[in-house]
Amino acid sequence: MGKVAPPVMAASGRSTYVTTWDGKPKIGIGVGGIKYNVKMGDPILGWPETEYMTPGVALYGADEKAEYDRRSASGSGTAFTKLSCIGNKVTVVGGDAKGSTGVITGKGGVGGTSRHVLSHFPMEVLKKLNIGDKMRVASKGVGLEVEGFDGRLFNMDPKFLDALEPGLDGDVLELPVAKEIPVIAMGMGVGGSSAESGGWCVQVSPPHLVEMLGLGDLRFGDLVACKDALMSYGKGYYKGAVTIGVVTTGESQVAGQGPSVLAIASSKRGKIKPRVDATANVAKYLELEG
Amino acid sequence: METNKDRLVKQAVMAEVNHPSASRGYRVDWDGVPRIGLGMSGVKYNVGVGDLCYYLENGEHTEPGLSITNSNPGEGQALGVLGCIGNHVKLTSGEAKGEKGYITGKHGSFMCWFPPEVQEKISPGDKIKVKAWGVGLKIAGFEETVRVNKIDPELLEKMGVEAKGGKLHVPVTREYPCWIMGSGYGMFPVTIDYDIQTTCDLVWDEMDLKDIRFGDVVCLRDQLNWWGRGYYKGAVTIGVVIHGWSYSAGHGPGVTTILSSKDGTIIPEIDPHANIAYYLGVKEKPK
Repeated sequence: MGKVAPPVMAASGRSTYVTTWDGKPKIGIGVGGIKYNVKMGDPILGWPETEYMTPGVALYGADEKAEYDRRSASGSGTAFTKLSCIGNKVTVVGGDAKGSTGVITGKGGVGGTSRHVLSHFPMEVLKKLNIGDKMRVASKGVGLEVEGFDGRLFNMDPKFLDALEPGLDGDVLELPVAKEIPVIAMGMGVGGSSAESGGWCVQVSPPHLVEMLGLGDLRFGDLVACKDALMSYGKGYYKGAVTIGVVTTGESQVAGQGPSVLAIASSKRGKIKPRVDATANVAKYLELEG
Repeated sequence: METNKDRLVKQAVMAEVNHPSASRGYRVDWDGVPRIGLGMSGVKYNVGVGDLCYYLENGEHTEPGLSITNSNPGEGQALGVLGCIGNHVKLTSGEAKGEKGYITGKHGSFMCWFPPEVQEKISPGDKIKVKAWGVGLKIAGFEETVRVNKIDPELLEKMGVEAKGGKLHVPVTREYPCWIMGSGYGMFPVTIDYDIQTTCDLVWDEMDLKDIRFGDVVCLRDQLNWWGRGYYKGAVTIGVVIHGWSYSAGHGPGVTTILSSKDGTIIPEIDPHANIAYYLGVKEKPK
């Protein structure tokens, strides 16, 4: 069980601002709550004053509280986060939108943490939703395997994996990606715990890095291939490894930080073949309605 | 090299020697193997600044010497910001009351060096006074181009740093590319280190990762540690190795960053003995 999480500020403790890579104060809005005009498929860059914006409706465990500096889930909230998978059905069980259904689209929080589970609902449901409304996720996906694949899978409902039309050639899994990202762009989140909780940030500062790697048109929900990045049991550099992930949360202009990539597949020996397709986005595979 | 050290506030901050920590169950390493990790916090009798980071059995973020913290959250935060590598510390309680040592790094805890005969008398819980000095340090002529962080002004003067021709030449043991930098990335350089990843066994030898020593002064390429910590093409960061190896994904020997420039002002010069143990005079330099 979960509930709609309230908006919280990205700045920690008693700070009013976050400090950007070039020493400017930024308010840091966008984490948690209900977004009426930001959803999977929308551009990552260009939302003023935002840090780690969560698209759609942000959920967390039913027992969670919006405290200062509580960036990661705890207790039943941890189970809610780890068990929820992209493509799982979510049902509103309290409030004005009771009985309506939506779908889980990702997980993410400030600094690559996994405080929030992200969900999508059609606009007519969004209008009725309130902060705190209880949600039930029909969780399925932890333990998902593809027989023969030399790697691990995470955070996917089996139906979502099917929608990606994966190919298997020997022990190599082929998956669609919108972009390939070299490990030099990978920032905060490295050293983080299991793939089921939290992501690894793609740095979107300084501007010359964005230009160099063509990250300017990155979208919420894009599938990306991270090269030399291993997220099987934690997140770290591994020569030749490939991790496929979903870009879940929005930009950060703090040095070494940026949109968070939630892993869906990782292979130490590089047994993943990315199939580049600019339209490879969660919004497409989940057939999300506006 | 001249600095503004005469204008920096020097003040007392309190801490206490902490107790070793251990996790309840196994920690899962980068490849899915359960392990028991040892070495965080407490008093180490046989691991000190200047020693190799790698060889310790079950070593996991091992902190050399002794580790100190302040368990009061507000005071601990002040200690975290104000304490600098090379700061003088003095025991104010326990069997070794009155004895003096140095800060050698900042992880979660600060690590300290004391003479071995003094360390024998130190117990977890003993109080320590830190003579905190260094926040705001600037090098004359490099005020706008080099960010100085977390280093005692007098230690910086002993590190063989030379200002010539508008550049700052700094002795380092090795250089590392940006992509090897791990946990702590994106965080605040004033309060936390970040790790040279020892996750990838395929590069242990080619990058000499087993040769890293506690206290080594190292160069990080394309890394800017100014308002935060991240990628910047051409930037150079200098740091001090402060804790040991790790088998957790994305972790490894930690680096407290002390100098950073984005425009090539810092020129690293390779010196295999660029280590703060020698600069502080706490270990004899090999001939």
